Amino acid sequence: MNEFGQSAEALNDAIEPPDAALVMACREGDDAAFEALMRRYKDRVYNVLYRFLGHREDALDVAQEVFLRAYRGLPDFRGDARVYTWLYRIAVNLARNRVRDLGRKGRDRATSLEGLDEAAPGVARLATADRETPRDRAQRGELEAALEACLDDLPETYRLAFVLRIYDALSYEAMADALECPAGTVKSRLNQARRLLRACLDKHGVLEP
Amino acid sequence: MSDEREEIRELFSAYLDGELDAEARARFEERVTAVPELREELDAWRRVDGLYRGLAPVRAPEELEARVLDELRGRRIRFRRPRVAPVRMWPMLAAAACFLVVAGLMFFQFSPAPSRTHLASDKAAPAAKAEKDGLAASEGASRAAPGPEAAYIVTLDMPVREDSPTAESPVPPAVKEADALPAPDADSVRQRAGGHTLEGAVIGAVPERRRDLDVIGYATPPEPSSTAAEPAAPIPAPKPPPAAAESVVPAPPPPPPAPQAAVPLRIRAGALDRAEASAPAAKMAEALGARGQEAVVDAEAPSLTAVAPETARQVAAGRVFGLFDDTWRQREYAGEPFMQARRDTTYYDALKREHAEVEEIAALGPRVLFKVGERWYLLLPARAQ
Repeated sequence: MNEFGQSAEALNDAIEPPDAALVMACREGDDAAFEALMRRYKDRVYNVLYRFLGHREDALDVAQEVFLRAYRGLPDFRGDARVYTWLYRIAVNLARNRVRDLGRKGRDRATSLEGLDEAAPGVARLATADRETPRDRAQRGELEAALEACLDDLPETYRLAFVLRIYDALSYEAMADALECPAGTVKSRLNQARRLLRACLDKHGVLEP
Repeated sequence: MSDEREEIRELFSAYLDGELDAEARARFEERVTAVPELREELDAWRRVDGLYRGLAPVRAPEELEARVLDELRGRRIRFRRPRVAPVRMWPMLAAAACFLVVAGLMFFQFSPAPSRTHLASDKAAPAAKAEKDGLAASEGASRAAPGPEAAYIVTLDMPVREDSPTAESPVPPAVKEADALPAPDADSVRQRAGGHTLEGAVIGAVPERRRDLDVIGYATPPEPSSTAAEPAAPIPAPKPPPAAAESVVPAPPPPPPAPQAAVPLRIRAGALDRAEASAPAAKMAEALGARGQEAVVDAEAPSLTAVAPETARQVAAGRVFGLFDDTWRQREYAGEPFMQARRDTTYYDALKREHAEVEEIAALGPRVLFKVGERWYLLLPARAQ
């Protein structure tokens, strides 16, 4: 299950109408079908982009371009891939381009809690933050900062693999499709990502059992 | 031993991600349990995952959807064929057809020839002018058309070839591929094929998808007094030159034609290449005629034989709308491509936000064709749940 309560593998079959029907309707000129498709995947795509890029404006820009390209590409979408892996493939390529264009590794998000709260909607908050004391909030801020810093430090390919797996629960096969690499490479990248994250978080003292 | 541990570590991710089959999973657990160091390490990896998963999901900002839809509208990205457009065009095109047919019947006589195609660009101007001058479609239809038999509307179904013109297509692509096809009132052609005289105009196409091309035409059956044995002859100019006088006999206004059954036609051309498809309608018809394309009577063609009369008129947001069939249509509409908007979509919501007058226009009825800004929209009812 991903964070939105959706099983990535079963999503297409669980929701009516299925993606294939929406794609077909889009090709027939049904604007509403494209809107439905976008509504179905916008949170997932945006979430992954945000986690990878670390900046909500960048994520928003790239997500917009993802859906525009998808719209233009729909007539050529042959259906031999799932719609979401196809969308992720577009998203991954655009996100990589964005990182290269900006000449930075990724995120430059604000990590202060005030900044996070003001920036809502669309900004991360820890799920447990319901009734927090100032101390809790400060600790949460430190933890979140550490998590972000360690994710930032990952090489791009490892970060992408980790984000796709953790935040969208994609199978290795689907990730291989989205990342355009063999499934074995996906496994290897995830191993490296977790190994490096573990070491980094250890250094920040946030992994004590 | 260290090699073995490293081998087990290589499986950590696959294990945590549920990518090991049952047998491999059992073997993995057995090996890890036996080595405390590996067990601790695996636990640490599990905590790493848990911490990152603990971050609340980030939902897309509301503006994402609006931005995408605005962009789509702004760029007029379309890959569909405007399927509804031909239907909405009937009255207006029929009016032009009636005008031409009546004018032709009044002054000229011509004979049918199934295998030849003729252009009557001289007739195009009056038709276009009539439309441009605001000759209301319904008015034209109700005043000029003696009945539905006077003019028929046909859909020309013309898939476009990807390849370049070949020897089979003797008409060179004289017209450079354009970004958009001409407006329907820019060209009007008269084509005689299959015993019917056709008037056709391109009403819409998608620049990025030239395969989808809508052409609308209207046809008149063979003039009753003509015979099949007569050779095909070009439609004479308003004042026929002496050379044409032999085959075309100027005659006093003929009696009104006897009512005939409406004949829907569908032209299956299938031979237009990209350049030809981008050409004005006259060039297209020329290309078709040159390679002997035939018009066929298609009994299964959609019911395109009736000319929808205007049944009501109303003003909304400073615009005049006529009711044709079930659609309120802004009277300036002349076949431009349009975007569809259903009422239950954010697309429509965005349109309303952008143009305050849309709400008043939408109140006319469930289906409204209107223009705001520089674009045309067909407003449709909410999708049935």
